Amino acid sequence: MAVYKFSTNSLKTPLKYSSLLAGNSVFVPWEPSGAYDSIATATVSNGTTQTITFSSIPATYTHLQLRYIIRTDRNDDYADAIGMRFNSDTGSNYHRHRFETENTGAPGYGYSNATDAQYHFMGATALCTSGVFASGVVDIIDYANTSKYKTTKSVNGVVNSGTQNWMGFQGSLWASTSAINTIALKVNYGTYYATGSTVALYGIKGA
Amino acid sequence: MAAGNTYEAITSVTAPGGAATQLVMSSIPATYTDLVLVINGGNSISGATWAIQLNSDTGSNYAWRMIEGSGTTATSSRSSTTGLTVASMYFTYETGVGASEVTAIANFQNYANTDKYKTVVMRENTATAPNYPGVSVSVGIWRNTAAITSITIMIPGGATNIASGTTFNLFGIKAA
Repeated sequence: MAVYKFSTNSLKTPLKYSSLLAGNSVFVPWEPSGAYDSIATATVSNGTTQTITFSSIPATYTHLQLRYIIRTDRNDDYADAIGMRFNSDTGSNYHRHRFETENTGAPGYGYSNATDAQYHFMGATALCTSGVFASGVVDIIDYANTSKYKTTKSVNGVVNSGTQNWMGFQGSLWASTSAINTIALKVNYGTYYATGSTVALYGIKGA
Repeated sequence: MAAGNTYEAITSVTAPGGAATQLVMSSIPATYTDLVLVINGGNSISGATWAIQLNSDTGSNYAWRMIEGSGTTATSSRSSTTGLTVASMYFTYETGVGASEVTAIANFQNYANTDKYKTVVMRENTATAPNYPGVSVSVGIWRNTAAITSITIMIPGGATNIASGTTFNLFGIKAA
């Protein structure tokens, strides 16, 4: 064992610190370490989850991306819609357009003053073969900017077979200049997410 | 908590000159959560579509759906009217001639999962295709729970060749 000796001078004139850091640098538990970082992942491990929520999203990035596979307990169609809300805003502040196909055609839809942004996330349903999940990629642009309304774009789809499918791409606007710090994803037509549904949140940094 | 830089290049393939009717990215590690494949290329002869096969599975285990926009009309197409009868996932209706005529991004979510079928979501630009120019979005399913270890980009039927200089760049994304 090493023996350390205090000097007389250090005992007579000790260093005093006004901070508990005592001269050490600040420890940051996390910070962006690359241009594309994994922030959090939610995986449903039970059959009673209605809403997946990402909260305390740091404002450190430029854009957000969510990537998912989802299945729900809906039992009257081959796809379910998931409603997305930001910062727990339940007001009529969401506007969206969607270009989609469900088995035939390629119609477009638009909705104004909705209380959530649906269809960016969708799910396979209980009518689909076991193991079939919907998949999608959602980009939320400039999410931390406090002078702009927030725009989101996505592409997604589910294919159970050649004649049982639903897919589309869409854009939406959240009429708020608040930085997005919470994203809630609620099953719409069904009630619960199926076990194994997974949503991963990533942060993208600008130069 | 951020898990660090999670978007990494896995491999790049460039089509050689000659008669390649398919290109294969094999030995894909299972260490990521998602795969992203970025394609920039075309055919040496016009008029062919492109498709994806996974793990060299040539069985009738695929289905796909596509929306196309030509600038004036929007249409959709699908793999089959009777169900699951195709041996690959189509993701372009037609490609142009040359090594920069198609731009496509394919997302393979949870590709290494072994208890779920694999759904692939793609966006494509074939604006210079001679007969059916436009943009499209497509989704396909591979009805297999195996982890994806290889991706084959192919021209079904092999009637034309992938243009020399066509590039395929595969990236891996790790979730926290």
